[in-house]
Amino acid sequence: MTDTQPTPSIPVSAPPPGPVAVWRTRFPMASRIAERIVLGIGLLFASSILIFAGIEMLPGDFATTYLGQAATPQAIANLRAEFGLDRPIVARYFDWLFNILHGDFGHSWASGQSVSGQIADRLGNSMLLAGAAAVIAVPLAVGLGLIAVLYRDRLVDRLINLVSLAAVSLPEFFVAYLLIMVFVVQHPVAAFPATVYDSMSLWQKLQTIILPVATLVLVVLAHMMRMTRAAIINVMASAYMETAELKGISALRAIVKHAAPNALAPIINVVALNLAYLIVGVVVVEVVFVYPGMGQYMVDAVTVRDLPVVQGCGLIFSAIYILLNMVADILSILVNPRLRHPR
Amino acid sequence: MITLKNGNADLPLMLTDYHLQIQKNGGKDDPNSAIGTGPYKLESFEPGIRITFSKNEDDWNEDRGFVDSVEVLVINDNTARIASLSSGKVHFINTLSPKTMSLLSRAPNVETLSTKGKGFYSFLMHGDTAPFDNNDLRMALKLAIDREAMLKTILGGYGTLGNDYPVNDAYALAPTDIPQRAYDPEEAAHYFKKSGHEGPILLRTSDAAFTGAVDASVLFQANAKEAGIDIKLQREPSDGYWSNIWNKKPFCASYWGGRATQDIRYTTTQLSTSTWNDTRFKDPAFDKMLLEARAETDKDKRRALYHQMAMMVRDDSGLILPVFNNYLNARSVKLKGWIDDVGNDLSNGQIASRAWLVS
Repeated sequence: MTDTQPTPSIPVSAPPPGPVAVWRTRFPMASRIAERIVLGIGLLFASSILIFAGIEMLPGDFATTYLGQAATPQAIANLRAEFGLDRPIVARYFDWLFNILHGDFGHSWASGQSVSGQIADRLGNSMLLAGAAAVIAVPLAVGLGLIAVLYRDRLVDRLINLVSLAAVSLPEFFVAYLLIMVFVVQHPVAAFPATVYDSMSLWQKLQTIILPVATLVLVVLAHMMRMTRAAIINVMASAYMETAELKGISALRAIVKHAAPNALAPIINVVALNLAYLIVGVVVVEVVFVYPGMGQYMVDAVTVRDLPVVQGCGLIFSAIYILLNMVADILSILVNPRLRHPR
Repeated sequence: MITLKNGNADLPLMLTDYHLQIQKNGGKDDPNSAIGTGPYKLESFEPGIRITFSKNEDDWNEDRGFVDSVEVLVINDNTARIASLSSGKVHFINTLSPKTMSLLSRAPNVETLSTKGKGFYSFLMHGDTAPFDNNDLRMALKLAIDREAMLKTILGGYGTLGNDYPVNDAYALAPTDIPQRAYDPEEAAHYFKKSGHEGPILLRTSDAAFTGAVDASVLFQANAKEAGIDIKLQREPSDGYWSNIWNKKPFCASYWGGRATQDIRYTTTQLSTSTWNDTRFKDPAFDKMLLEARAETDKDKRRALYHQMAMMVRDDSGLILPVFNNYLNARSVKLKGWIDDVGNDLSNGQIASRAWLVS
């Protein structure tokens, strides 16, 4: 006999709040942060499936691309068997995931080298380039944004806007070529190609990457600067800023002490997005300056269908994006006064 | 000691193939040790970045290997390669585009190098597939392509005209007195009418086939239109072009690099039984002649056989071969010792052995 009609004999009272709900009301900030972290991990798994499936769907496979014009059916079959390409896709996915959770990205099919080792090298290079560019670009962008607000609609503001908009309007490869033309061909002062090797010291590496760093700073500056300016101007319109002004404090102090903290969330978001771009999205700059970063590694691998490398890079890229966005989310929660001081 | 099943007069030449190496104990100890018989020793290998070599002090040959170290850099971007050379950071660059050759030749301290090669740009018709199983149609298309224009626009003049057989005078015993086939829309129209074919002809193309293949196909289309032949172009993805289009579809753009001898060239692509017979040219008389020429040691008889074979391929096969491309490189004036080699690119791969630097 099945219970088809729920017939409660006892009158229903409001259920007592569950442990999660209690925790949520007591620690609003911690629970929000935990939520973001769980979401990030879930997203990472979802993207690993997408990456694996997406690469499966590409036309042509490694065996035929690698052998090129010289492929015979037997050679293709041998190569496919050697790399286990004849096994079902689900089995291969779980093998891959299992190995990655143990820190093993497999071996490159094209060069036979360990993908983990290569990624470590290349990621280090990408981080160096992105880090150097960010260290210059972020303070510069935020500083220029503040100055633009301070001198709003005056000559300085217009000048900053014009120059940064011009810089962002030029495609990155064109900025790169201009810098090469001036600083390498006409006045040979900068290093080129900007290839860094393991044998170089940090100082030598930094000297070598001056031109790509300059290119990247020019490319990302405008976006962050304009966001800073817009966010602060937005806050400036609110009533409490009028009070600050009436209180008689200086404009700079009002902006730095009272407006900026409330404008931080959108600025943090745009900075995080640009940082992610600097690490994973600069393949054009890497190619032009012959810089051995992650982007070029992945593009080289895609052209020869070197699956372990493409999948490894894809996963690292999505991990960086997810991580940076998560950090940005968490930071915006932390800087939000309404969440910091729950009632 | 090498024992052959059939006679092969080219054996010494075949043994110069760059795939073959001499290694200690026949390479049986460690074929990947990168220890052979060359003038340099491998120092480091970073795939996709660079390879470095140092001089092998114990080299058996004193007439080569004049520099202390060699560094091969991977610079995929054309402009970056040129900037590296013209700023003096590198001494030699390869694979220049024809468009940049004349511009770069104006730069001081740089010399551009255009070397005749055996590689060719081509359009392939499958001789066993309709409508290309009709020789009148094949002839119509061969006459409907403006080779001069292709050489001028696609190669910027850096190449030589092709004559629809896969051999030029960079090969030993190449035929010399075969009349050059020219663009003739009227003759092409005549043959096209004779073939009885109606409607458009589908040509598949992609820049994976050769640099500028899509432009070359558009040019071919315009040339053929003059003869009343309607070529329809289909752009194919570069990915998988060699596995999905070439040697599979009946009419497509293609490329072949050079081979050491005429025998290897024809055996690879014109022998009936070859897997890579990419024009499906099947002629028992040709096959017989190919084997006969292979074992023939009398040079004059051999030359006569290769002449006949070239004529058969030129007039009956599905190969449209408008141009042979030159190898385009550039050197710093400091780098000396470059030799225009009839073999492969980069002075037949010997540039590091042959070059030296002046200060």
